Amino acid sequence: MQNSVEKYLRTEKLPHIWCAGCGNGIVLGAMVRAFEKMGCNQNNTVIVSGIGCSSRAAGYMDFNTLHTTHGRALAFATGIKMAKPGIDVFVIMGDGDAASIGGNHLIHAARRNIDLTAIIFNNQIYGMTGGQYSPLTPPGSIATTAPYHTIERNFDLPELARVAGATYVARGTTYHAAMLTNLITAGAAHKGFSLIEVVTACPVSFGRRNKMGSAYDMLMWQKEQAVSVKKAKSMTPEEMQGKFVIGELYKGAAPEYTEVYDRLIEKAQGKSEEE
Amino acid sequence: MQARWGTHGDHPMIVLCPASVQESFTLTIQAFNLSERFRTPVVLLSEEIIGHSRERVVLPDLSEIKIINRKKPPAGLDRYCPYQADADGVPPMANFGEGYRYHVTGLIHDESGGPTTDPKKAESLINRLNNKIMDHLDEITMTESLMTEDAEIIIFAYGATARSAKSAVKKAREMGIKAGLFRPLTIWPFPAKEVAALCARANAIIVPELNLGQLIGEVERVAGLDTRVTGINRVSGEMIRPDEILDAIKTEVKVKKHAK
Repeated sequence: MQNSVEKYLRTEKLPHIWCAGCGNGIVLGAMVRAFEKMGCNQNNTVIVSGIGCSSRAAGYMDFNTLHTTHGRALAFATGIKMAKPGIDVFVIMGDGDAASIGGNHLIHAARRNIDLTAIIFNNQIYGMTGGQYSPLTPPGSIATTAPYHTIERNFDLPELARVAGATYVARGTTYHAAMLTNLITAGAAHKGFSLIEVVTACPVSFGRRNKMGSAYDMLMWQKEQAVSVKKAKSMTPEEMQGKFVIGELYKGAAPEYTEVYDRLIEKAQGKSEEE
Repeated sequence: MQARWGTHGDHPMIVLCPASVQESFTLTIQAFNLSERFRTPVVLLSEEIIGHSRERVVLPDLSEIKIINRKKPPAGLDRYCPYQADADGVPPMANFGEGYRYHVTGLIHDESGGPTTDPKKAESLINRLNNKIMDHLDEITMTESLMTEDAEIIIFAYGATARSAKSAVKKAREMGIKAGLFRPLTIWPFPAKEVAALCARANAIIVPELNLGQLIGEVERVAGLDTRVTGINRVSGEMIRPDEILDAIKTEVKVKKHAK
């Protein structure tokens, strides 16, 4: 890794705990490259994470880092942003953490349009705990809790966030690592709730059971299944079957929560007549 | 019990139990103060009756409220160790965004805040977390005693039940029975020293509870075999009435006579 991004890492905490072939390191790499690109102020940035393999990423980065309880990263992050709106807050979650245990926190953070940047490592499985299926595990997958195969439909997380009120929604993959850095940078620059889903590989707890081959094969799967926003527009639903769209999926505008709250405080204190 | 043992890992817990709406207000302030003083979560454990009560509350002037804020590290340290404790077991705590960058985790951690599986560090952390509370019980334990000095029969009651107990104790005194009320406002850490002192004087302790008997186990543990401990328990959704506690007091008087 280039020296320029090393200052964003707690190098004394490395090597990381992730398995060989895990995509989490690529997402971590994209994050620190995005921080470098943005010229991030480490003292004024908080990284909050939940529980799971992905959430260990927070501890490797040299920021104010907070490794919270399962599913509650967004709740902690909301508290931090409300207390200190001037701080930049990034939130790292896994797919199970964000969509299942923390599902309610997710939709309400999106609905409030609070200025957080949520990065969701979607490896389609609860990897750390041994391969239980999550709300993002595709139907027909094998998991330790679905030995015959899953029968539940999976969430489209960016779509869920968009309809819940998020104003910046994107999806990337660990194969398209350079694009991922750009998406994180754009999400961070966006005022309001930003969600970036990252499709990443868990060769041990997902790929192995689902005969997806090696870590390399799983990266190639990402390359083959991912379709850019532009290309997806010209494809039929049949052609899109089993594929997923990557890139900036939605960008909108809505009042940002802490700004609205600040105005409310001013009004309550009689400093402003504004509604 | 859930407030005390609700999570994995062995850790101390401060739990405060109000008996009125007024006390819900004052104990909330206390809860924050204890939390800031000891850098620990504090549970304000209300119950349905207090939670649904509407009562007169007197709000003091802001200047009369004592506020304790956490101790912070001095500025300009070369290296800030967020979990390196002072002599009192409590480490100074920097706020995020003020210049000291550190990691917070629910995992067992070392003094830097980073996760560790080193058995020595794990043991040292758990012991420190417990000791910082157990070494300062005098600052944490809050209790109220009513006519316990010469009491032969003590009612140990907390929350709304303590109000029925107070009424029962007054009626018993009118009848010439030496009854007293002991009310812990801090239920965890359990006020063992205070209860032991009561047991040294009283013949019997009655523990009315709106459950099948939870804190009575702690009372029995402290009382040992020399003091009779009996419970009055109710899980019907109704309060325990003063006359029911008074009946239990009368029963204890009979038991004592019979024993003679």
